[in-house]
Amino acid sequence: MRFVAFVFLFFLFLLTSCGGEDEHKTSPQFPSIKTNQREVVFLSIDTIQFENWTTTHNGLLDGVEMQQAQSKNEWQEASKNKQPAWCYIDPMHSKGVLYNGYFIKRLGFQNRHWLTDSVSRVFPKNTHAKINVIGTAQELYTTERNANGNFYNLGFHSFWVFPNRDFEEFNSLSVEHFSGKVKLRSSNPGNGYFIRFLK
Amino acid sequence: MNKGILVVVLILQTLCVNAQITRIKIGKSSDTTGEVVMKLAHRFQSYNWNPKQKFDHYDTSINSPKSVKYSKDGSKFYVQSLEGYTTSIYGSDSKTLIKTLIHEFTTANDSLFKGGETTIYNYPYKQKRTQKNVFLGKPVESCFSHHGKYLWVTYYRRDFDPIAQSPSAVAIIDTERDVIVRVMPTGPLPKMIACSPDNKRIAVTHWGDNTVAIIDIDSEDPFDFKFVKHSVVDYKMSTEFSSSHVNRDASCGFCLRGTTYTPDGQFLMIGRMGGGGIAIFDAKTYDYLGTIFGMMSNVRHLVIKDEYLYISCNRPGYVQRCNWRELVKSRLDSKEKKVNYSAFENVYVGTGARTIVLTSDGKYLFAAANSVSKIVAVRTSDMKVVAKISADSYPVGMAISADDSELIVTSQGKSNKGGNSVMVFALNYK
Repeated sequence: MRFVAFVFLFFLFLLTSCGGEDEHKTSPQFPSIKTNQREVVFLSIDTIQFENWTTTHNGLLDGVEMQQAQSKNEWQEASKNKQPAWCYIDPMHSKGVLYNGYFIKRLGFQNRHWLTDSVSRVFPKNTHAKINVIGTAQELYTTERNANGNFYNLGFHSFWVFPNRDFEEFNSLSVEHFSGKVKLRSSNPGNGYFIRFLK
Repeated sequence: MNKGILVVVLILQTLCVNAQITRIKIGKSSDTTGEVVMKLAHRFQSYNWNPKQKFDHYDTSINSPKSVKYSKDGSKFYVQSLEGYTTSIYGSDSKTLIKTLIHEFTTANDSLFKGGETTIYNYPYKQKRTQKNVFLGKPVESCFSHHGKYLWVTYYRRDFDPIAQSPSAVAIIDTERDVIVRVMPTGPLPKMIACSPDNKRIAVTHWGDNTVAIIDIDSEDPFDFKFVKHSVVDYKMSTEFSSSHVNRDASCGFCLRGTTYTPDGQFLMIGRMGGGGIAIFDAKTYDYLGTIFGMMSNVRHLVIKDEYLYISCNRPGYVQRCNWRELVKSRLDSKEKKVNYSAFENVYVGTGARTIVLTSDGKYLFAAANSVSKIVAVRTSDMKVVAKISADSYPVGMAISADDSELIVTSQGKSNKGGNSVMVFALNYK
């Protein structure tokens, strides 16, 4: 019964929160990120759709520039000092941006429609994504960076889910490219993953 | 009276030990469901000079055979005999000995040692010896590089280094001519060796001191090969021992063994037979990323086939498998260098699970169960044993032909019991 109620509330939340998504929509009490441009692509995981957030941006947070880690060393230092950092995946800046967990913490983003921690927990086990949708952008979506600054591609599309209230736990959601399997993972905030918003 | 009892006990003990030694007959088939049938078709052995069966070949080059590898084109196979200091090379079709390479180096072989090199990374020699490159090498394991052109053979130790404290070496064999073309020094007690999928690096795993040495092989000329990195798993173990009777098979720190690259070439995995776990390295930088625990103890051999990592766990006698990407990701996601992972599938194959090999389609796995002298076939779809066969005591090394029709098993022996046998099993599938 509780579960049915929760599912009802969850869909109510989706219905009331979706639509009218605007990249410049901000809340006065929360910082916002200003982007130069944003390509709108949607990644569909079962019935939930995500807005793509992978293309170039200037890393401004309410006009304050956030550190772009331009070297492996800068990424490592950011992780070590628990500082926000972001980086382009490739030198051509064509394959998107990765963010560390401290960036997520600093941004807040509470006003955005994240796949929040509570939502991700109701994902049934063995949730699978639609492989034909994610399969079109394998290279774009499956790179990640660990805290030591190295880039890896293990075939998982990984993105941050909103941290818990006290920002002590950081989680990412991964979609295994080969199988479409979706999994919530406890993650090192020094790592770099994508950001996804609900459509 | 007491002496009499003692003699009887000793005789009974000897009989008991000998009763455990298995020698199987040519033509013996596995007791099976029929899904996989293993049948002993040929044998090369040095324990019976007068064999009664046609395909039982008496072969004195076999002396404590530790491992075996098929050449890349499948036309030959190479057997490493540790105590015989030899590599025996056989024709796969003819089943005849083509050549025996003896790993003996004198001053006449100085040209094999580039610039007279004797060590790497300042490993010292514990012996006062002027001619360090005059020695006999004990071949253990091997791997191919350059699309099978070169076979790299590690030496457990140089013969003048009784407890493997000093630098050992690795021989590079040109398989077109089957001659040693270069010998490179290594750290103490190298065993496993692996070539990266892009053929740019060779990883030499030192059983003896918790380290792995990386060689740049991005050249066709063996004399261009050079060491580029010396990576350590947690700490470098000292090889200063208080006793000269130390057993280096047991006094080896993490006893690094099973070594494999992930198919995408991003990571190097090394099993820690002592202390448990699998150490992970970044295969670009060769930085040690940490160790993943959660599998059974005594991790011995690692094989990656498609999406799965297969692990033989020696003492427990199990083969485990897991998705290798998930395993690596569990470490990459974590803040900690040491993480636990638990999503394994298990199958019991018998105590002393040593080398494992898989068929080319990954459907079946074969394991050498050393302590019980058995070869076990496992169906990987559900990780169930589908066939077993006794083997000459005590099976350790293994290789499967590219067409999956033959399985070669080496039995090394233990404490001068059993061993000295290389068995060729014909494989049939339902």
